[in-house]
Amino acid sequence: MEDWIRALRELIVEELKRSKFPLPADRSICSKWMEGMAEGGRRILYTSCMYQLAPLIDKAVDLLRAMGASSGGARARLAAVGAKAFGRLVLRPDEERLRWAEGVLKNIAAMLKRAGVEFGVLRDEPYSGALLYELGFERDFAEYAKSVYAYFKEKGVEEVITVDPHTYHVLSQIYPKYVDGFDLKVYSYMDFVKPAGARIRGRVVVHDSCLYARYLGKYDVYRRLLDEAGVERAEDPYVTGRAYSGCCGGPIESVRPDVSAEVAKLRVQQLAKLSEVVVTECPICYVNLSKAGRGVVKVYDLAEVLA
Amino acid sequence: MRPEEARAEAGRCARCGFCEAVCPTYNAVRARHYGPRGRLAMALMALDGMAHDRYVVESLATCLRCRACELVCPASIRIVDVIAAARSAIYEGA
Ligand code: SF4
Ligand code: SF4
Repeated sequence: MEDWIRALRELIVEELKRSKFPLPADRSICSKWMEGMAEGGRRILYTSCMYQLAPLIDKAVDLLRAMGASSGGARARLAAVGAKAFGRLVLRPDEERLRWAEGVLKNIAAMLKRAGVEFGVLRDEPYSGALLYELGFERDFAEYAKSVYAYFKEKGVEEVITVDPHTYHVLSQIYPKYVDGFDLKVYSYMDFVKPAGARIRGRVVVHDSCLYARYLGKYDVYRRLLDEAGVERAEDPYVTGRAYSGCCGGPIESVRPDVSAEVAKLRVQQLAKLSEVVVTECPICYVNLSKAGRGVVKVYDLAEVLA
Repeated sequence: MRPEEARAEAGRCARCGFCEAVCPTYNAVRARHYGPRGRLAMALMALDGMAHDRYVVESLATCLRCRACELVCPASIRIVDVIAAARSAIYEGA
């Protein structure tokens, strides 16, 4: 397993150096949704390419699994060699998933505009580096984070509106620890939007992002937004309570995809007891639960539900 | 968290096992080193130089950092920070 983790680190660090993107992919997928939006400014809507990237993680992990990433031992060593070849590939998400990501982001932008928030976008925005931090490669993360901060400064950015929990977490809580003089104001789009209604009907169950619920104090925020939109929620302290609202398994997908998939399967079983309609607020949760819940639950992102 | 601090924090574990009920990886695998209590024991081993033991690496690398365990731990142990410190000890050779 150590061999595999080392290979993974090399793969991500190399790719970030080359393209400011953690996976070998066509970067145009990050900015396609930005058509017609103003470029730059002091306040920006920053996607860190997370929604566009999440469907690719799915693909990458299938490839990694085929290479033996989950089995450990000799096969993992082989996988480590395979990872080098993997770096030369160019991954592309399915069109359907890409449309989903673009739909979510466009709706977030539209809701912000409706709430009177002015912002620009950065068409060459770099990835935040969250994956490095979360996998435990803190020194690599620290170095990379400095380069991202320098990029924001050069563009004259003062305030950043994030769209996902991983980016919000690293920017608001981790960057200040690693980047000297970090002074960006960091928000979540949820801090601003005022939903006028909902795009779906019926009772839903909320799947919490671990970061939003247990690190970032947002557990009640998206619940309130759903209430304001008139969406009925099914709750059960053992399924959706602060401690029992279990992880989707996403954070270890690249380390042990088999364990990650089992975690997701169990989570789907719990959620399905409350409703067949699951609402997530994180693209990684969305992808993981959609995959594990095929035929059992229908998963929506919060920004698909709010109108 | 510095290694000494992590060692002291892990040493406060009463081994009550309350944390296992909420741990997603423990529930998925049902092996002690896949749960918070086991991970604290493995963290101590990693911090004591057993960084290359297969079970130690597997245990620490598969924590989701989801923090569910911390919310139920009666000793309020900062479990994720301990695991992260031990993991750094392995990955960065610190
Ligand atoms: S709940 Fe806390 S004290 Fe009890 S076993 Fe888990 S970590 Fe140790
Ligand atoms: S943070 Fe790690 S040890 Fe604690 S419940 Fe989550 S996966 Fe288990």
